[in-house]
Amino acid sequence: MNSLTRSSLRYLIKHPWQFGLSILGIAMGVAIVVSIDIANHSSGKAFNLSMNAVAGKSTHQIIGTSEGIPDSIYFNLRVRDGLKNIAPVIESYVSIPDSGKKIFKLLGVDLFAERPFRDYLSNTGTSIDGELKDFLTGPNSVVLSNGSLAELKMKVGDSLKVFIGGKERTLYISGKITEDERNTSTLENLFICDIATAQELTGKINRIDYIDVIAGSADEEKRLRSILPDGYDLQKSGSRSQTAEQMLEAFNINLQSLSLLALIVGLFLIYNTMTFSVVRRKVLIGTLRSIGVTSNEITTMVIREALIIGIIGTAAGFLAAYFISKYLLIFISQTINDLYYVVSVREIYISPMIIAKGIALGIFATLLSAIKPAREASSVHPRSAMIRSEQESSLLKKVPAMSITGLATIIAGILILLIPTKNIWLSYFGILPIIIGFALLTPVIIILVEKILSPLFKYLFGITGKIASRSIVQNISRTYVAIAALSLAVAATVGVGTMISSFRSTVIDWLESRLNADIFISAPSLVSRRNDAVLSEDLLEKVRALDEVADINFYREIEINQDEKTYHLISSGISQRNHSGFQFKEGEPADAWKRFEEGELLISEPFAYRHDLEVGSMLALKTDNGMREFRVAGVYYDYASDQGLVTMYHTHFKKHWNVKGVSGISAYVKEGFDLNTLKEKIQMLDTDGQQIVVRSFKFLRDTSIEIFDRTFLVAKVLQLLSVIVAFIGILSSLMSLQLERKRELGILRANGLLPSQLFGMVGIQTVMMGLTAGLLALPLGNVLAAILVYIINKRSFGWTMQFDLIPSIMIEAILLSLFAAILAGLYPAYKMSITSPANALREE
Amino acid sequence: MIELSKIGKHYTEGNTKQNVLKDLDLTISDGEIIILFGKSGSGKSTLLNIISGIDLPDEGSVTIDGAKVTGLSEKERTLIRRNKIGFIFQFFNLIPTLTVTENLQLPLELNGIKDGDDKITAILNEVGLPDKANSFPEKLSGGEQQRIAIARALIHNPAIILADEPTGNLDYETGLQIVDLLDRVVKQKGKTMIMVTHSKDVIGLADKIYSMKDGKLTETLKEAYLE
Amino acid sequence: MKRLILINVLLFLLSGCESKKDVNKDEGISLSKAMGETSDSSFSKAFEKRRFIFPDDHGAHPDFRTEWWYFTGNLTSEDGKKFGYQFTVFRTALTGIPKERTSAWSSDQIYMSHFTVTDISGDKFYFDERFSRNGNGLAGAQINPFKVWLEDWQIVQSGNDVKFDLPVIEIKAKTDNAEIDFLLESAKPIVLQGDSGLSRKGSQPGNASYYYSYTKLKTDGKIRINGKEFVVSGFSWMDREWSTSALSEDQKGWDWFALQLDDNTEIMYYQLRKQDGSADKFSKGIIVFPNGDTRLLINEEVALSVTDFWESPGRTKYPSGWRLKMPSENIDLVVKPVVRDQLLDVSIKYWEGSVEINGTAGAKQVSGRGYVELTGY
Repeated sequence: MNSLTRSSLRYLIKHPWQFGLSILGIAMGVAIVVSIDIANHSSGKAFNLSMNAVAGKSTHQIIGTSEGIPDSIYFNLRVRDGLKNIAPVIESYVSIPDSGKKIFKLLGVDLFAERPFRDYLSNTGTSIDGELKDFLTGPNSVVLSNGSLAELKMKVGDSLKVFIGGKERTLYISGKITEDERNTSTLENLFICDIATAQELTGKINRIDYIDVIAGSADEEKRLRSILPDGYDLQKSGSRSQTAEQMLEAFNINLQSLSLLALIVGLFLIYNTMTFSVVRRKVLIGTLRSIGVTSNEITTMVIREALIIGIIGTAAGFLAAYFISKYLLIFISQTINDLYYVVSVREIYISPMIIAKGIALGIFATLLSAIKPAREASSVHPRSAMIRSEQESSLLKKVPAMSITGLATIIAGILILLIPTKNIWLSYFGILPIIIGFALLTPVIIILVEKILSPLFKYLFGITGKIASRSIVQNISRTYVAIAALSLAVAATVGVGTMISSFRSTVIDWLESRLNADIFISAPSLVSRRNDAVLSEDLLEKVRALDEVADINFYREIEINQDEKTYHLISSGISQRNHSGFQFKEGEPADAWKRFEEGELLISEPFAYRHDLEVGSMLALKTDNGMREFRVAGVYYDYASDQGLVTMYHTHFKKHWNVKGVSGISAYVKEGFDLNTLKEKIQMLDTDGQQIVVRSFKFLRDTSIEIFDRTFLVAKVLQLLSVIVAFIGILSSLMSLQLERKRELGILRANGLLPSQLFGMVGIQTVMMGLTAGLLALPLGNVLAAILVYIINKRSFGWTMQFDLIPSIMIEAILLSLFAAILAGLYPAYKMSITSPANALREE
Repeated sequence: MIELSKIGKHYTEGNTKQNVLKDLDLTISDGEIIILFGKSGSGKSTLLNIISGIDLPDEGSVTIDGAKVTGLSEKERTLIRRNKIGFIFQFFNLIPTLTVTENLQLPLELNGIKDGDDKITAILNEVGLPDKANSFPEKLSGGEQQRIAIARALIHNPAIILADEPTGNLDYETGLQIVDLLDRVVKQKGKTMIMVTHSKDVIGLADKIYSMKDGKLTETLKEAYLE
Repeated sequence: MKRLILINVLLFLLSGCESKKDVNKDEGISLSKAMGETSDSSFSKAFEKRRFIFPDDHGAHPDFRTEWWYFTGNLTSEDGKKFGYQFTVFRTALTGIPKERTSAWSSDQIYMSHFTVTDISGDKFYFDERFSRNGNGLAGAQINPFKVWLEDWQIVQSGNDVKFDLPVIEIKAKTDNAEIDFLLESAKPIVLQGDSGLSRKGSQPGNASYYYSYTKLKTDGKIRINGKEFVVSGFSWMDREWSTSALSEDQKGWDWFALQLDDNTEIMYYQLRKQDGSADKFSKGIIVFPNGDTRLLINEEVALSVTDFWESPGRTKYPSGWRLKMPSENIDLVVKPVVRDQLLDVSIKYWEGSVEINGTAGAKQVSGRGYVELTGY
């Protein structure tokens, strides 16, 4: 190690607070980004693994109509056409009420067709014990992996009460699969049963969900396509995972962007620390320069210091991420289960990509933030060695130029945001210049605030107040970074908070107008957003026939898989009363309803956005009778699904799809009748073993809002973490600032300033900085919120939201920044006040 | 040999242009010791900076050992400084994070000299501080720090020493010791030195004395100070 | 009593050890394990003689644990190329008492099929194996019209002609390399094996099977090997057997011979091997005379000696040449595999292949073709 490096390392070690805090800042930033990444990746990986476990070695799936594939089609392919590499599959979910609502996947297979497909059934090291007889002759026999058995505290021969499709079943564990390390994670969420058992358990009698296929060559694929009857499709394995990935894309990007915010705050922190360390070492750098160290060597030195911080910070960040991600994963998988699909994540998965990205971000962010300080260091003139202490190189002169640049940057950001694009990254990219612009405007705002507050402070606190406020401006090159970092973090809180509140009130308004019935009936469902279990149409008629019922709405939701995409189609039996619950974005309501009842479609706003549709567009859908085109009659506001919904009147739906059952029923109570009586009566109805959930409007609304709040929990956690990073930032810069002023404060102490007065002065200063940051955060925060509401959300999910200014959030923001600043200022103030003036005056 | 020819340097402050150096010529032979007197702000330090290549003159040229410094890039000038010049500062400017030995190693490293331990031991003996090798600068008194600074200026054996008020921050007694040291390690070893100072105690060292006024140099006879 | 296939085979299959890399023996699964006694008392057993009723008894007997439809045959193409084939459908019941189930896939009957073609002139042996269930129509056996099938491997009635109680049948099966499509018509009456069709396998009561054969079926059709088609004709042998029997503990396997001599005589003989290699007293056979008359051959009447061995790639030694003497009938035959390697490398490994026969019957020189099965090696 050469002396230069040694010198700079010792500098880092001698200032543990500043550099420790910078490391902490970077660590937090990296930790948040990486943990979000890990959580996203893990949930995706868990889903893919469960898909792979199910897909096995299949290259394709034959998918049928909405109701799956009749047994006879499989029979034809296998017996008549002699196809060998095909296997029938039924998939469902098993929820186990006694074990903390654990969810497993039920996989129904034909063992005799399995051999080429799922290697866990034939891998070395894997074995199924137990009687094959029981497995095949059942009834209700399943086999589980050893791990799952252990998790459920069950053994072979035990029985298990579960829910499948809302119906209670008793499963018999007829055997177990001993897994090896390669397929442990594949098997851990699976209940495997015979295809016959699966049909009986899921009620899918005479049909299977899909047929797995191994088509080794394009020729085989072609041949297969030519054999398949109309209405059946050959789709590549993995397209389900892809669909899932697409579904989550916007959700993931938004989480990642929020996490980047924390990193940006961390970046400010490093910038601040490095700038500081350079300013403090001007004489030293000047000396080095005059004894012959080149400016490049100085640049290298500073960059290297930053790199050390970056590396340590990144490493610490990874460590923290490992722990944070476990908690985030709980939130994220909850949200996925609420909104998208069933996934059960039991493990953290880290990919090389995540590590690479985390390292790149941590190091890159550090280097990026060190560029300017490094350049400043390299431009330190050797002449600096000749003078005692370099004064604040007056940033004040640059303030006008900075302000103009800031404004221009903001305008550039606005222009980027105005680019019409569906690319969410580009949209987020547009926010960056706005943030930077605000940061560049910070000095001028600080000066203005000081101008206003200085006389006040002088009046209130005398000369100490004056010095306190003046010194913020005098040290503006340092104070502004701290203030900007804090205000950015607080602005992020305001922005995200305001967006969530705005969104929330939009959703509540929507729920209240949409859910205008009195009572809601559905089957218990694993994915909160939609009902995957189905009620019988008998029940519908029974409810309709009740004396207390004035009118009913009902719907059936099906998934249509076409063009490797999943469409959610709603067959709607909507009553006139509920028409008012639909707010149309496009289309004249009376006309739209009339056309709807004639067989045209109503589509939700996100669907229209995703698929570029408007009133009058034609949409081709895969019906049970092949592809059919439908005209769009209206686009309605809807916040139920970011994937979008297509709604069709039920009588027309029935013509195209042979789908039985309803997903949900809602009923209006006849005037003069009691709601609770009706509720009881419905619960008394004979449902043939089908569990039903009967909910009031209020209950349903509250659960919906609960899900909504749960969805944004992650955002709130991230927001909080960003504030913590910012807090570290302001702590670090205040400490540096006060340390820098050691001598000045020493002189004041020498001239008779009491320690308490000094404490007060530093305190006043931090209050001012906090206040300035808070004030600055308000416009920035609301601008961020508006961008999130009008641009990001619109482009990510396609929905229009109202935008509210929320005074409580703004007040909270100011209090937050004041609190952060005061808390961060306490230690330096205390430290300075107890320092002996002699020490302060001494040469450092 | 250092040759300064028609050096001009001015600073602009607001609308007024202020000449610091004007049409200045100076030739310093090898082994000569030059002392510059002058009031604060008279341009002494600027002249030192121009000689060392830290600053460039607005007009004129500087030639060191036949090489025209004023025509060189910043980096080339730095390398000349690294190699040929040793600096002594008023405030010593030792690197606080390095020990005495390490401070002395720095110029050696910069010049690519390895195995400088003997040199360091030798020079520490010369400046009379062999027992401070592993101390950090903050543990040393001002005089001791300046001795180390002088050692640092000399360790890589530069031909030219530039000293900017080397005794300016020291008490009288200590200042004399430093002058004595400079006499031993600079003058008697035949190095060229240009020293800016206010102190008359150093005059004994001087071969030539100049005073600076209005951007010009006037040579003063040494005897004029030695009453 | 031939090839039994049991639940354990399937269990074994699923346990995954069937992968060729993992098992370095010829025998995928121990035969005695596969043929172990069932503890399930719900199955019917062959305790006494029965009256065979046709066509009903050509169909399945699901209350018995095991059953098979077994075809082997030797054929010659128009240009003199020689072939052999084996096509077998096995049925195994998982329980003697079926459960009421709603799914059409539900099944307590498992079907397995083996299909081989021996290209004698080309010295090649092709084989394949399939499993399925009788649910959802994937496999099964029915009487009217007669049909036994496992997916697209099928034995189906062809037309309404019935010869000696057996309809004319078509056999269709194919693998990646070989494909057969034959019409079979019996040239000789049905042969009831053992004691009027009750074939005892051991000393315990019920350890017996119902067993009948058609020893000479005129066979015409096509064989396709690697895309090349041959029009062939010759004779097949059909065995039908069902039981809930098992190998006794001291029995290790068996060597089974089905020989068709060119003097229109057929000989069937199986020798049950004990653990020590000696012949079990329940070994027996039958001789079918040109006029269709038969005579039971007991163990003591037949002297079987091995004249040659063949070592499989898995280093198991199989007999590969025999001398079969029946002094009571004045018959002395030399039996030789036409292709050495006719090993079915499937879930239960066994050797079953086409053989050629030379020797004397009385004073006459005879020759012929047949099939030999070797299990438990």
